[in-house]
Order: sequence, then structure tokens, then C-alpha cells
Amino acid sequence: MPRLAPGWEATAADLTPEQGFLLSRVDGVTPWGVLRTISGLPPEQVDAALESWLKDGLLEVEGSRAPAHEQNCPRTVVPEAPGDAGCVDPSLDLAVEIQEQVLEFETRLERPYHEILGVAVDADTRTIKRAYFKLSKVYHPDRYFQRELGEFKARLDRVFKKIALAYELLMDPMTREELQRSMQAAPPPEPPPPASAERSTGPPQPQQFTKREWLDRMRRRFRIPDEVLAERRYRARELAEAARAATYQSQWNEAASAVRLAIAFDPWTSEFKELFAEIQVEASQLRAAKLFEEASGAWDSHSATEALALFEEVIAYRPSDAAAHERAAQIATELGDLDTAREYAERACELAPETVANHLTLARVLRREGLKERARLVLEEARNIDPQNSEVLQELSRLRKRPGQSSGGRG
Amino acid sequence: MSRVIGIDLGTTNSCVAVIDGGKPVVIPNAGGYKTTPSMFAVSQDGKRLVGHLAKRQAITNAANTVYASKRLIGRRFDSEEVQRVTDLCPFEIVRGPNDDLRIQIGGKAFTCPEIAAIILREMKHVAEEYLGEPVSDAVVTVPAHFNDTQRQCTKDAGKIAGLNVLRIINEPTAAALAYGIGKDVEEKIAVYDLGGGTFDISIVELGDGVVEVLATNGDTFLGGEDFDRRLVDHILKEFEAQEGLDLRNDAMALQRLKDAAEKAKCDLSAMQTTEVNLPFIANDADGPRHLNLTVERETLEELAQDVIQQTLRCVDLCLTDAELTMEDIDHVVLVGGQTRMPLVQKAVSEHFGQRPHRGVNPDEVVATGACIQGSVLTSENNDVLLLDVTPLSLGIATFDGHFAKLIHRNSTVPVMKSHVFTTTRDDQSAVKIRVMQGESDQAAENDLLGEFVLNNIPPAPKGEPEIEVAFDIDANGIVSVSARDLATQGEQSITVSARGTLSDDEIDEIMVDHAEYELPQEK
Repeated sequence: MPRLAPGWEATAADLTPEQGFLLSRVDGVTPWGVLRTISGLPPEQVDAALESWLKDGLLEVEGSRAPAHEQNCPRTVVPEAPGDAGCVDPSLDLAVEIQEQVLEFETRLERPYHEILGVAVDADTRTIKRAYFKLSKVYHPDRYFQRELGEFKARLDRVFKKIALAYELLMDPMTREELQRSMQAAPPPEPPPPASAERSTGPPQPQQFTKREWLDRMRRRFRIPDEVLAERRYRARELAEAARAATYQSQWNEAASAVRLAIAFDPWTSEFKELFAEIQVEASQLRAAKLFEEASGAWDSHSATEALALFEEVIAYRPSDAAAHERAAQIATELGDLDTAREYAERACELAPETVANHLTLARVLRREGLKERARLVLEEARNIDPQNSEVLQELSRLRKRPGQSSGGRG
Repeated sequence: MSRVIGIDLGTTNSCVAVIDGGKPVVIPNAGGYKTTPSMFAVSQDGKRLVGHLAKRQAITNAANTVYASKRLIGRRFDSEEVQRVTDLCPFEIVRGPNDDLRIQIGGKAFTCPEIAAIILREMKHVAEEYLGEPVSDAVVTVPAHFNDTQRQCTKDAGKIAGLNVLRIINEPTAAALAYGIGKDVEEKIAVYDLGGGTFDISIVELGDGVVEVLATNGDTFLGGEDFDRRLVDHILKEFEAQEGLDLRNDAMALQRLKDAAEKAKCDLSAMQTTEVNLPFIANDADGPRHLNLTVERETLEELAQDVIQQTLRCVDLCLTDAELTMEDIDHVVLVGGQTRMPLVQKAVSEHFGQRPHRGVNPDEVVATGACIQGSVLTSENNDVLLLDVTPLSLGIATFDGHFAKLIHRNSTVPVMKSHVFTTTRDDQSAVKIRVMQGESDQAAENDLLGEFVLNNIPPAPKGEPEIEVAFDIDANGIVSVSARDLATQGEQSITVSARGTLSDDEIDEIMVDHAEYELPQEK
């Protein structure tokens, strides 16, 4: 089963939310096969992600990789809670001794699998098989086909399924070994909580659960050991601290990455999400600034198309960046895409009406489009802001020089 | 309590057995045959004919005689399998209202379950005549690789035939049960079942009165019919080369040829060469034409080679699933009439490295096993238990079009498995659970059994809600699926097994319709 390697945080790459979720589920008790099915990612992507993390030293794996059929891990099989302690009903079409046996068996359903089959921990497959056959001949529902069994129908069903599961897991060398190891490592699981009451009595009612209750239920149902949960929360807190530390040094990307992981480990603490939102803002600012530089560089080296794409990305990060809009407008004009250019220029003027350059750019676009009247209005506005601006004056005189030109004439 | 009969509803022949005097007995029909052709016809004067009576008039009434309809049951009209047979079928296959198919004979469109019902009823009559008492309970067998729809259609057919189908069991499993009964041994056997239309391979372990199916594999569209069709095709080509005449559009000629090919195929199991002799097969401006052709065993073996190879590939897959090798197999049991072919026996012997077991009758062993299971289920004291498996994986489609298997093929039933899934969009309020059956990783390539929606999931970032999906198959093979939001405990579930190609209303309608044909068959 994969588990996190010491020092993995240092190597944690930039993860998508799904990958973060996946990584957070790596806890040393969940087998590979189960990880493949719980993350919402396609199995092969899970494989690829786990493989690459293994390679990068984020994870380590004990023994070999689990095959797909190992998905029947004991942890994910939800045991039905054995209802209230039932009692023998002589009116049923089922021998009283069998009823007693079924009831007795039900009290042992949460015992380790080898005890369910009544074999030693290290029993060989032939012994396991014989034990399984023997129990099947008592508890398989077909033995009591079409008989009046009352509530014992469901009980038999439950018991047999558990026997079959125990057999399946013990016959598989891989899971048998894991079970044996976990037997040595952990004390037998606590008896199941009396959770059946709320499920079996009365009509089903929509219930509101507090986070606390939900957490308790989850823990009970999936039997994530307390120490694993505590470990997860501890890790989440550590990661959040690391994130905060990174923010002090303006390392926004690192901070975002760390807090994202913290949320994956502990989705219940809203504090992390708030922190993430803050960092997200800063991180995107940083990213945008970097992109802005790149875009300007690209424009300088005459790759206009690339520069436009980069400025557009800047705008995606910082939708109210007037300068980026203005640059994008200039490049679009250069590329002849006047519709786009006008959109960006207009937005730049809206965002920063006091900046002369924005008006100037818009006016140039409008002139190229042949919309002289509007261009002049825009330029006059610019002259009101800065009456001495030579570019504005020059542009105005250019408009006046060719009064007769109408739209579509040139450009 | 009335006795339970076991019916092997075969592609080409059907067989019925019952426990009589403590022993399974295969019941002969009125003509003294232990198997009955799975054929149904409507004669020129509107009479319904079944079994040998239908077969006898097939040549003169090819367009109104149905054979091998088991290959079509539970399939969609547009499916590849159906399209593949339509051109060589003398009877007309038309599209039904539910995208299913109908067989148009005697001026009426019959559904496949209806035709299966007519054959099942015939088998019921055979048993009743032999026992001298009415029969209602039956165990019916199907190929192990039949999917849920095909099984449900077979059940529907039982209902139409007036039978209470206690259980549908797999043909190779039934054969293993018949083989293993009364043997106090521990062994692993392979059941190689090549019938008229389907192929199944099962690996079964016997011991302490328990028959445990370890794994099963197969192909529901591969069998003796394929050999016949290849031979027919071969003869058609030869005839065209000799006489320059294409017989493909002549229904009567095709039916005669099909009969002759089947007979030639059987002859070639015992002889090296045989003659196909069909005088007056066609008529044109130059006068009558006769078909006279010698067929060698080698020719047939060449034609059949790849079909047999295909079966051996299934054998290997099945062994892999059972996590066994050839050496672990103590005996190979051959089932199905097609295993009489020397080439099949030779190929199987070579593949397994041992000669097949010769103790069972390949035509009768499945029905025998079915009636044993009937008696095992209904009698109080017996020491036999059959642990069967689900032949196809069950699971749900995930958001990206993948198929997440929850219950893997070859899981012993009854079985319950559950897994936790999550959402893929922020604030996703509902998830659609699409229940599918099949082996492909791609959801679209599997069969959709049913779907339902779990809603009222509280808003949360994607990946956070935990939705537990639980699959349950009970001992009768009924599948139910539930999805539960672990946060709210909101739950939705469906039972998905009851989906044949006919609705309950349609079944009732057909039953009323069939009632009028019930009486004349009593005598």
C-alpha cells in the first residue's frame, strides 16, 4: 500500500485539485486499487500520478503494487450494522438451532476474517477452502430457498456475504499477507457502534448533521483509524503554516500549492479555504506581473501574436489591469483585428479614464476604423486631461487634415 | 409438491429432465427422441408446429420456420450480431417497437421470448406426458455469458409458457453439477461447452458436496451454427463457380442447403468425406439444376479452424481469471453437440494436454444438471450446494466515460460491494448513477442496465462530497444498486434486473394470445 515518504512536502509539485485529493488519500492504509476508484480521476491517471510520485520520491510502497482486483479492500466494504439483537422465532420455516447459529454468527461479523472462517491466521488455502465450503453449506441462502424466513432472510444474506468476502480475501495471497500484517500491527477493530438505530427505526427522515457528527460517522463507516485522521489534520496544519511562511516572503505560488494540499488533507477547516482565497489573489497578481513582463518582451521582439495571447492571459488574471488592456489593444491594431482592439481600448479607458495613453490608443483604433467623429471626441477628452500632450495634438491635426475621408477609405 | 423439471433451452435442440425415483432422467418426447429441435413454424393452413414437426416441414415452408432464435434473444435490432444473420436467414427479421426485433412468420410478428416460450411449453408438455401429472416449476439454463437482458428475456419466456422459473442457471455450471453429483472427490474440472449457437468455458471446483464455479468465460455468438453457415457459404460458392447461379436469394434452396450442410457436418465427424446431393435445387432457362458436391473433412476443418481457435482463447482467459494453469485441471468435460466433431476434441486434448472425460452425454448433461439444481433447491435434506458466479462485471459509468467496476466478473453470488465516489464540479448538486454490465474500460462499450439520479447533495467544492455506491446481487441474480450521500444520508436506489425486451403488459398480452393455442396440443 502506498504511503507518503518522509520529506515529501519539499518535493510536492503543483497539483490539480483532483491530484491533491488523491494525494490526501494516500495514508498508508488505503491500497492502490482503492485509490484508483475513489479520487474521481480515471484509473490510468491515478496510476500515472502515483507512479510519477513514486518516481519523485513523494511516495513509497511496501511490497508490490496492488493488482486491480484488490479493490475489495476490507476498509471500503461497508458492513451492515447487525440490527438489534434478534431473537429466535419458532414459527419460521427454519430450524431453531440454525436461527441460534445465525444470531451467534452475526455477533462475530466484525471479527478478523480468519476468525470468521474459523481458521488460523496462517492457514493454507485448502484449509480455508474447506472451512468456506462447510460454512456455505449452512449459511448460503439457497439452502433455504423459498422458505418463510422472516427477518432471518436478510440475516442469512448478510452472514453469507461476509463469509464469501472473508474467503475471497484470504484466498488472495496479496490481501492475505496484508491482513496478516495488519493483525500483527493493530489490535482487533473495536465493535461496531450502535449506529443501526437511526437507520432501521421509523420512516427515513432527512437529517441535518453537524460537521462533528459527519466526521464521526465517516470515521465509523470507513474506520479510518483515529491516528490517521489526527495525522491528516496535523499535516494540514503544518502545510498551512508553510503556506503562511511562504506568503511572508511573497512566494505566492509555493504558498498556494501548500494550502491546496492542506485543504485536501483536511477539508473541514474553513480557515484554510479563506487563506487559500487570499493567497489565490496574491498568487494570480504575481503570475500576472510575470506574464506582463513576458508579454512586453515578446512584443519588443516583434512576435505580436504571442504577445497578444500573453496580455490576454494577464487580463484573465487581472481583469482590471488597464495597462494590459491598452497594450492588447495596440497589438490587436497592429495585427489588424480592429474589433478586438476597440474592445480592449474602450475597456482600458473605462478602467483608467485619467490616462491619456488609453484615449490615444482608442482614438487611433477608431481612426483606422474610419470612425473619425468618435475619434475626435475621444481625443478632445484626452486634451482636456492634458492640453499640452504633443501626441494628442498631432493626432487631432491628422484628423483635421483629411476632412473628406469617410469610412473604408484606407487603413 | 409438484416436481421441478430442468430444461436446457438450446440454440438448435432442447432437452428436459426430471428427478424420478431419486435419479435424474432425461425425458424422451413423443417421437422417442431425447432432444427436441428448437424450431417453430406456422404451416400454410395457420397451424403452429414445434420441434420435429416444425423441422420436418422446414424445407417446404422455409420462410415461415424459425430456427436458432436463441441467438437473437435479448438483442437490439441494430446490433452487429442480428445484422450478421439477417441476410442468411430464410425467415424475415423486422424491427420491433422497443428497438428489439420481431420475427415475421405466418403473417404475424413474434418476439424472441415468445418463440422461446413456445419451445419451453413444448418441453413442459413432454415432461407432463411422461410424468402423467402437471408440472409448473422449472430450472432453465442459459449460456454463462448471457447478459442480464438475455436472462430476463428467458425468464419472461418461462412465464409466457406457464412455468414458474425457480432459477436461471448457467449451462456449464449445470453440466458440472451433473458431472459432480455423487462423486466424493476433490477436483478441479474444466467444462468446455460448444453448443449450436454459444460457447462457454467454466472452471469448477468440486469437494464436500459443494460445486464452486471459479471462473467462467465465453462467447454468446459462437457455435455449431457458425460451422454450418461457413459450410453453406462454401457450398454456395462452389455451386456458383460450377453453375454460375447464386442461390442466396432463394429461401427454399437455402433451407435445403442448410439442412444438408448440418447433416454433412455431422457425417464428417465419423467419415473422411461425404456427399451433398440436392437434386432440382434451382431452375432457370437452361432447365433444372442439381447440386452435387463432395465435401472433405479437411475442408470443414479449415473452415472451422478460426472458430475453434477463438474458443481456446476464451479457455486461456478463463484459466487466468481462475488463477490456475492447465496442470491444475483434473478433468475436461465436453458439453454440447458440436464437441462431437473430431477436430474440436483434438484441439481441446492438445490444448489441455489430456484427453477429455467421456462419462457424460454432451446433449443431455445440461438438462440433467438443471433438474438436479431444481431438486437441490426445493428438497429439505441434501448435501449438495452450488456456488455460482456472476459472469459479467457490474459497475457504474464515471464522469469521463470510464467504467468503474464494483463487482468483478466471477464473484460468487450473493455478493455486495460498495465504493465511495465523489463529485467532479464545484457545488454539484446531483450525480447520475448509470449502472452498467460488461468488461470494457469504456462505459459506452458496456450494456446499460439502468440509471438513476442522486440529488440534494449540499454545495461543496468538487472532490469533497463522499457518495457511497453499493451493488448487491442476491442468490437469484437480482441486482440492486443504491447511492448514498454520506453527508446527508440521502439515498436513492433501484433494482435493475427486471429489464427484458418486453414489458409486463406485453407479456400478459402474449399469454392471452397463446392461451388459444394451448388446447390442441394437449393430445
